[in-house]
Amino acid sequence: MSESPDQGVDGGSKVLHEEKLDAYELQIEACNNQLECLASIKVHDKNNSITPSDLISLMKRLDIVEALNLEKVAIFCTEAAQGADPQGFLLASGEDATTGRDGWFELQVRTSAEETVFTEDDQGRVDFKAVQTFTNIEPGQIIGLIHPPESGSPGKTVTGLAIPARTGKEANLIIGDGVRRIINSPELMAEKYGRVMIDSNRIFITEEFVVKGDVDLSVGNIDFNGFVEVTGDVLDDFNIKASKGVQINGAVGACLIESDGPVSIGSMVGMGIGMIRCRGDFQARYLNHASVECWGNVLVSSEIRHSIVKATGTVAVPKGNITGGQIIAMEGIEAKTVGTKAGTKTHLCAGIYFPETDRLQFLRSSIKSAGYQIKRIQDTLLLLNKQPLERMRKPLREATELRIGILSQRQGNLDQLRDDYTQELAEFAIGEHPTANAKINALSTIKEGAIISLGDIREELKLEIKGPVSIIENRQQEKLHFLTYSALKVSAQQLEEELDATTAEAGETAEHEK
Amino acid sequence: MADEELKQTLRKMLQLELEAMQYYQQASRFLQDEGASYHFDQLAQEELEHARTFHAVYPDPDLPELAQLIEQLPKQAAALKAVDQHLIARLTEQQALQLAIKLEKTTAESLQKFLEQVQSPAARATIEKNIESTLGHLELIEQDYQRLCL
Repeated sequence: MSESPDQGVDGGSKVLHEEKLDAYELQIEACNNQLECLASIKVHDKNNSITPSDLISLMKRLDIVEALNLEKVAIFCTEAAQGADPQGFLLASGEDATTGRDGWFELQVRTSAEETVFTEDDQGRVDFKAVQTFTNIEPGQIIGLIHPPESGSPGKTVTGLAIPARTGKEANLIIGDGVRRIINSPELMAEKYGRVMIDSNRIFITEEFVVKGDVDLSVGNIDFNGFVEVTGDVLDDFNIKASKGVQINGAVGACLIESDGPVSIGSMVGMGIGMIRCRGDFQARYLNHASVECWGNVLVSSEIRHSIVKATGTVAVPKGNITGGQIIAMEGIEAKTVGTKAGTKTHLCAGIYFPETDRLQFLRSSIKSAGYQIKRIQDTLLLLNKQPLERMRKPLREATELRIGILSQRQGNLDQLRDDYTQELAEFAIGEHPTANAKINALSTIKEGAIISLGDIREELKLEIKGPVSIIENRQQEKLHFLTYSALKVSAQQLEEELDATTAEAGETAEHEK
Repeated sequence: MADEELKQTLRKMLQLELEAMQYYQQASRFLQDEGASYHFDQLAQEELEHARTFHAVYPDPDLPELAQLIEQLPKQAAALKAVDQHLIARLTEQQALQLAIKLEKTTAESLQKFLEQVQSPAARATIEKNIESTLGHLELIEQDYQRLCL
């Protein structure tokens, strides 16, 4: 008998035991990283082949105990005794270690990747314009969690040696711009305003929202903490609100566009209800029946038609017309042409800060309106109180009593409102505006019917004025000065001082000549 | 357990009153005539008070607060969607009252139809009372209108 254990390792297999006897030749090997134990036998004398108990004893010597499959041992021995010479017969199996779950990222806000879920209100109505699927992100907001990789289960070789468990891979996520991982925490935090984007396993916050195409029912109303760009048009009745700015390359319908930054649009046909409100500069090619409230400069390249445009800076249409409507600009107005041949009323007012004048106008009209309503209520109450309630039918009596109650309460509220507004009006003070420039420039013509308001002067032009011309207030003579054109950066005050100096000089010369 | 039909009826009445209130409120903002606007403001207040009455007698705590119900109203009154806002804006005081009279009559008629579908005695009593109240309200508006025509 010859026995030679631990011979040779081949391709992950290792011979654990080999013996050559007169009756048989036996080889036991471990393979597949010692997860399997295979036996091969060649029997010369069937009557003296290996018995199960011999084989079990042999395996025990080789430390293969728990993993040994006794049923297989029996089959192997039976086949051997029958001269079948089983080869590579699996006698024992170990248990492989498993790999744990890979790390993963749990997004806790919405990006635009999700499908829109429309929700019904109590009455089963659905707002199809509420399509926006991303979350507006603010600095400090937690946007997600990085879950660590998990550990798998340990295994055992056929000889009972432990195989350590394998851990999954780290989450495949690259942290990009505007995102920070909180130290010693799985949380990812936003560092700036915008929306979350995940692109090729990179998470970042973008301050831009680009709509490639039109804003319609597929996009819905937009409300974004960043900059919105629309490459197409914005259809009627869709609204855009963006904190950093808005750029619309196409046409805008009767919509509300609001931004704390600049706004640039192709054109707006507002049908009297389209509105743009921006805290930065505003630019457009064309405005028609639109309203603009701009805390900056307005630049329109082609035309402003029948629109109300208010700016705390300048309003300029250097190559086009202002036709109809009203323009109010604190730092001056400049246009190629103002008004039309047909004498369309076109109001131009420069040098005033519109938020103040708007408030003043609101206070005055509210006081007037409250006074009117109070008078109406008093008259109505007088009438109602004269009516014989006790003789009325019950429903009418109840309706009358209800009305008397409501009117009395309304009168009290209106009295209070009128007092508050009157007090605010009495205390209202126009602020200092060093950049105010009560000056209007026309590069070509101001047509008949244009109404010019500068300082305390308001004048409707009865004749067409040919330009280029600059118009400022003549305070001494309480009329308008039509002067040789000068750019808006030359202020009305500067021009007036120059005029005063010239007048004084002329006076002195005349006196001297006398 | 409260009468389910009564609860449904009260909810419907409440909804009708709130929608009427919203209609008058929103239409009032378009109106250029101050007299017309004055009437619509008044009518909106009256509809709100009617709604408050129904809310107060609702028997279960499963109804949201009135303020919440008002908040849940659609941004634009359904009845206004079908009307050209520029036309409403040009209504005179008389025309505004004519419109209000028409609306109240329509409401009374639809309440009458609703009454025919309801079985519960308590619910029927509620609807009948609302019909009476609507007619009283209508009479008051008609008086306003007649005074204007004098």
